[in-house]
Amino acid sequence: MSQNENNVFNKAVWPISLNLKRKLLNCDELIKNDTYEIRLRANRPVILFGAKGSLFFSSDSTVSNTLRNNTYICSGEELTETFNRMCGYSIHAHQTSINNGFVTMRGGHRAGIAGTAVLDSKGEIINIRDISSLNIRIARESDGCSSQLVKTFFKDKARSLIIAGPPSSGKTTMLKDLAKKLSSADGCKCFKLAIIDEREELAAVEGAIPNNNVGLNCDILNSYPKEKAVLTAVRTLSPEIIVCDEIGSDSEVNAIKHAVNTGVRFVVSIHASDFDELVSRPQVESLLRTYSFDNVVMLAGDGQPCKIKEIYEVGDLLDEINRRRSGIYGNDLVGSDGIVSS
Amino acid sequence: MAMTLSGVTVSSHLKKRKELLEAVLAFLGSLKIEFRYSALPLERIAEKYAKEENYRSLSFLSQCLSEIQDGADFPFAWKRAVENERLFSPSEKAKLSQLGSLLGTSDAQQQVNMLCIYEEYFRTYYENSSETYNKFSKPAIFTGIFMGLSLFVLFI
Repeated sequence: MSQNENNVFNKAVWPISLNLKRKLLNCDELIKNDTYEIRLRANRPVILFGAKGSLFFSSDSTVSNTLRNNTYICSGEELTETFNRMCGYSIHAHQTSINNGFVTMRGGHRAGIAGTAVLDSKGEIINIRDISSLNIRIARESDGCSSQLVKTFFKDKARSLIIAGPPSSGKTTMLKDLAKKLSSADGCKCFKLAIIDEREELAAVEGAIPNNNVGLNCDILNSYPKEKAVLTAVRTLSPEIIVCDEIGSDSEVNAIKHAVNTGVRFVVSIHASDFDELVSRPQVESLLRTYSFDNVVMLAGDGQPCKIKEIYEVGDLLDEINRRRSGIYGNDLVGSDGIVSS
Repeated sequence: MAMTLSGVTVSSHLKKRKELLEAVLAFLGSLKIEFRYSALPLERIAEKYAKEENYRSLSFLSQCLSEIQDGADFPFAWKRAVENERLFSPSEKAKLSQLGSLLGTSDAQQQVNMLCIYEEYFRTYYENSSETYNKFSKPAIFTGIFMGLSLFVLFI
């Protein structure tokens, strides 16, 4: 795994400006393995975020908890060069995603962008200038991380599932692996999948070819806005399961509500740091109230990517939502750690 | 014979330059369409047009593409490829290099606006080369033939 993981790291640092890239490539293999994010900020230290939290990166390719004399400071020029390389010197091709605060690079690695927003007269963001930060999130593949879910939920028929978790808990990685298995008959029957990849992280399509292995029997709707992609998939591609990352807005939830009436199943991920956040998000409640989802899988986070913390029954979650709404607390269903006991 | 050949060579050079600038103009027009409707990254635009029959005279596109594929960044690959094209004049090379450093650095609308300006530059270059071709192509051949015949007669 280590060699493969380090290849992923090496590919993720490819667009970084030459001097810094060389130093990152010289890092110890353990550092490469443990790094989930590389944070570059203009005229500030380079920080690697991973299992051990945020670490300062030094010119001698080591990391430390504290600022040192040789801590690598990323210059404004390096940041600009890195940004241009991330876009393949083709900002026009990434303008929409830049306006939404990110660029997806080859291999599905995503860089979050911070800078100065340029607004039009309607208050819409039309560009980001003076890029001041880039946060490169390394997209890992964790082969087999979804085996338990496939075995439990998809062995004989298609079901709908919500995967929830805090940032960096491995939601996207889990979805990728799940998509691969479901559309390749790996531990289940071969399902017809439609993968909605608005941020180009799941399949990382380049040209018409996916860079990531997302299975054999799947159609990829690349860069489509999720709500339009759901409707397009249902109307034209007749999938058995639609896979979709990071459901967040009401319009996306509405599109799913519309689509479940056609009998299609969904495997979606949603951001929720813990149980409380999960049951208090209106989008989650809306999805649950379609009664087409069977279970919610909560990932652990805390530096343990793709680790399943708990699997909830939808009925139990709806009961809890109803209880909270009616002001009844302290029920034995939810423990102090927020875990539902069955 | 040599004089006749040199006349034909000059004429052919003028013709190739005219065709090259015509192709550059067409390419700039196509670039506008690509920016507006396909939003393809520059590498893929270079790949697409380097393979197209209509743009075969733009051999610098193939060179640019192969440099990108070898790991060079687009502006450097473009500049080197343009510099190596012998048929461009120094001012045309300068303008194209400048264009290469600006391509892909802004949103689609800005790119289209910028390409309109460069189209105007290259329209002028094309018109000049076309005029030069019309003016000097045939005379160059005739002069070559005439000089060749004259020398032949003189030697006899």
